[in-house]
Amino acid sequence: MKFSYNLLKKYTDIKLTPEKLAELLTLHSFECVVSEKADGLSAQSGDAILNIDILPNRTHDTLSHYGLAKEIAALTGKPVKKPDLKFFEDRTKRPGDFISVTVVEKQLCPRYIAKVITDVKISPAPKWLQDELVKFDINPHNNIVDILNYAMLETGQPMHVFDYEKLEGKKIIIRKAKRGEKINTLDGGQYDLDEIESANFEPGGIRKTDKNLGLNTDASIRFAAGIDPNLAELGLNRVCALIQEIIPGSKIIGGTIDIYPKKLKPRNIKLNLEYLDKLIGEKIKPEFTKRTLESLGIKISAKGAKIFLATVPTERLDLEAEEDLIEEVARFYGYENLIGKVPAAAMAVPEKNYANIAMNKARDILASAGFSETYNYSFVGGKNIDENGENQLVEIQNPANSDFKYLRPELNSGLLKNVKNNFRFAGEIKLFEIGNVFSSPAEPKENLRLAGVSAVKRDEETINGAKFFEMKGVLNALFENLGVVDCRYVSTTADKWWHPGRVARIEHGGGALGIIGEVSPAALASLGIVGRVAMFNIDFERLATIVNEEREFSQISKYPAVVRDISILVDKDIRMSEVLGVIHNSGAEFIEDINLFDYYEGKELSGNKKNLAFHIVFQAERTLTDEEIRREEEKIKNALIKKLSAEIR
Amino acid sequence: MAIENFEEKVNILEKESKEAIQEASDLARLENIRIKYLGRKGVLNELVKELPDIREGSRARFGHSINFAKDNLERLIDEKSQELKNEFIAEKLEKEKIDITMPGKIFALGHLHPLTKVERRIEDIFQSMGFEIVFGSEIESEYYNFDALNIPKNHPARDLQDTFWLRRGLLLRTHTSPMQARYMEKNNPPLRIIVPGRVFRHEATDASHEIQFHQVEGLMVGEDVSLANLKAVFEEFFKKFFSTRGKKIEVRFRPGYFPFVEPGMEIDIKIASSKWLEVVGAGMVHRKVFKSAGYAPGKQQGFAFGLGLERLAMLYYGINDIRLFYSSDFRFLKQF
Repeated sequence: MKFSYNLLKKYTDIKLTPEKLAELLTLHSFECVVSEKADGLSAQSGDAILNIDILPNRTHDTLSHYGLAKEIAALTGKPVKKPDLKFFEDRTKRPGDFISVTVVEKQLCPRYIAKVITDVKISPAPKWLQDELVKFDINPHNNIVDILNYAMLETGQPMHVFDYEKLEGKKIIIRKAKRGEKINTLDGGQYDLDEIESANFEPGGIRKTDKNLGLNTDASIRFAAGIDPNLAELGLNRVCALIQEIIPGSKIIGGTIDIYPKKLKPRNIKLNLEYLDKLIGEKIKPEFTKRTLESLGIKISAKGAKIFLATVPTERLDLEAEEDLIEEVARFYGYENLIGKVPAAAMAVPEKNYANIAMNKARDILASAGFSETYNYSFVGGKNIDENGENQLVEIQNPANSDFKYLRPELNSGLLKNVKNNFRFAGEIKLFEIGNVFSSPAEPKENLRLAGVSAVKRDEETINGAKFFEMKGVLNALFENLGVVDCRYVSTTADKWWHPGRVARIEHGGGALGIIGEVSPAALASLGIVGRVAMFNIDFERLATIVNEEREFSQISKYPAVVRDISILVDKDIRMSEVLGVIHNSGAEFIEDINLFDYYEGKELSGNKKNLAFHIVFQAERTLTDEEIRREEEKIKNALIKKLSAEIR
Repeated sequence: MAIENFEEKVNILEKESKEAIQEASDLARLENIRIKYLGRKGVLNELVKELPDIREGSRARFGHSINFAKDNLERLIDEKSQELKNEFIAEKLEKEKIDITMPGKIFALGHLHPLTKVERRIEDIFQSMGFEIVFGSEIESEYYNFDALNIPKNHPARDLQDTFWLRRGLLLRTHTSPMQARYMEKNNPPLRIIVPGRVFRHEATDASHEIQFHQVEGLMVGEDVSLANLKAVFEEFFKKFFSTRGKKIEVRFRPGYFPFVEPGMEIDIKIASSKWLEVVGAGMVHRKVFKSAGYAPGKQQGFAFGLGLERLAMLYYGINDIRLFYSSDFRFLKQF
């Protein structure tokens, strides 16, 4: 809220410059900056405007000049000057002769006070008052409305004025609106007889109404935050004093209608000074504590050397517990002046978060394989959503917009969108993301996943499925580095996003771990991507449980390994896994490793064949003779010929 | 054979071979010369065969002179060979000279997201101070997001505008603080944790506001954990966090309000001569939060804080728009 430096000075002596005052308030109460002079205000009026971020728990007592002046007075040790509340009353009549007030909802309206004023002549307010309001971006209206607004700026009490002539049945009833009832907000008109109310409403009721009507007035903000019922009296009296000062001839009828059934009483809080020191972490002198709390209007009586009994005035609704008082002492002492103390906690090595370690390791591996990390939105919607799948998605009840209507069910479509966008600037892009995806709308669940995408603008390929195998190689490196062994790639059918001939389910220990494949040409076309795209996604929560940091060292053999090459020609449809199976089951001994080092299929090969060439590594805990190796080699060759009709080359 | 003849022959052969060596232009030619003169069937060995015909008295002398000639030739050939090798290498070096200002072969490593990098920095610092990393979940209940944190039913933070609601009273967590209550329900003090994670707010987006962002929650509870401890932890944190940036950092501690702490504090930092920016909300854990976690009253005290990851990353790298973090634009990502 905006505060006027000059108006604040009316209620307490301020020797500080606006800048110094702003600094004092920032360090001890509320963040405050002196408004830029660009608006010309300071130059014209000799005033400075302070923008102050009143904290939500202090709205009730400091969102007004008088209220904030009290805080400043406490900080500077200067006295507070009360607003002028003096006025004469016409005691020949009583307000009850004019109106009756009934509060039906005593819960919602703890206090309602009203005065009646006659002979009110409506006219524009004097210039000084209009100028004051303009400082706060309030448009001047007429003398009575302007006075009410000004009194609210001064005291923080929202008030309302009724035109007596228009008051139906001369009755005011405070009740809940009935269903279907319409509310007209008052504005303008000539009044010559007024009734002014100053009331207090229960915060919850106000807030809910605002929310439903989309109404947020200055008054409702104040009521929503809660206000001291005793402030109503101050506000009302201040208005009467201003009316008498500004509107000549107006008569204030003696007496006040005041419906205040449950009087709010000052609160008593016991403050343990040892606890205060222990919570702040510094020895605070009891005299300082006493002086500080008393400067805030709190009455202190000592009970022994360690206990203060504090009586908190009703205007400080926020002070409810011991810690609330400790905060007052601490901030007056100044967080800046507090000496930081290194915690004296027991030395303990923190427990490791293994999921986090696995996540960071996976990130590092993928980055060294050329993949860059992205963070996409957790929301999806709009055109990206498959209409048939909509009921599978977790829906946001109040989405930011239609593109963000649901929680993302998977990471890949986000990455594909990233590919499309980046293809404007790059011919090749590799990205990955680790993040939560959401499922099961009836019982929403989240699952941490890792997904990656590798895309190139070129569609032709030199090797069939080059992108697929590149991605498979990356995943193998990832699994190996994470200590995840025995992952299997199994043929699978997948949804329309995947190339049906180039997709595999990744399995571990009999359960699915993820999926890898190329994006189908149709899907790419629908996304407007030209090129080749391979992608994967992995259930990272599951992966993290099988990650193994442990390694077992095995002796490096003292005997030489022998490598023999075997090159075969087989039917194109025979799968690599079958060939390896035949070699492993050929009965040949000493096989340490089998590596495919050449692969060829092409026109030069007759009859739908392909050529495979392997390095076969033989190793034993002794030196193998040429004769022994030749024998084992023969077993392999014979098996390949017998089982796969292979031609040995 | 006459003695003079023999000596003459040796002399001529020596002279002839020396010239040949001198003129040899490559290693192959030099090798031919070696074979011709020093080989098993080379001319010098042929001469040796003639030795038995020499008179007894001179044989030894001639033998010596042949050996001497052999040694001499061998040495000359070795020298020439070394010379030719040196020449060859010098030539190769000259020929293989490259323009080292040409670009390196492209070997594209990937890049970690700046938020990941900043989160790691934060985690490292707090782990070195004994804090354990724990995770919460993004889908949260109304109870843990609000009630357990002393944010009552009518608190403005509960407004529809701030929270993304799911069905059945579930919501997307608006802060990482729910883990305070969840963790304390299951663990007894003393404890030190940080909770990094994504949070969501229903807000209008601009250069400094996003509907999703990240926080790092912190919680330290013990018998006598104090506000002064909180201050020390953050003085140390900022010193370490910005230690590599070489810029002057000022830290400011001022009062703040969060329903789940009392006293409350906000921590601002200022880099060089720019404006103060709030980066941490903190305070002493509210007694009502301890109560909802099931801790006996008055037995423990502690501090809690929430640190804005994007805000810190923006300050650290000088990024001016929060929306860049979620742009997935490689021109942005490749800078980290």
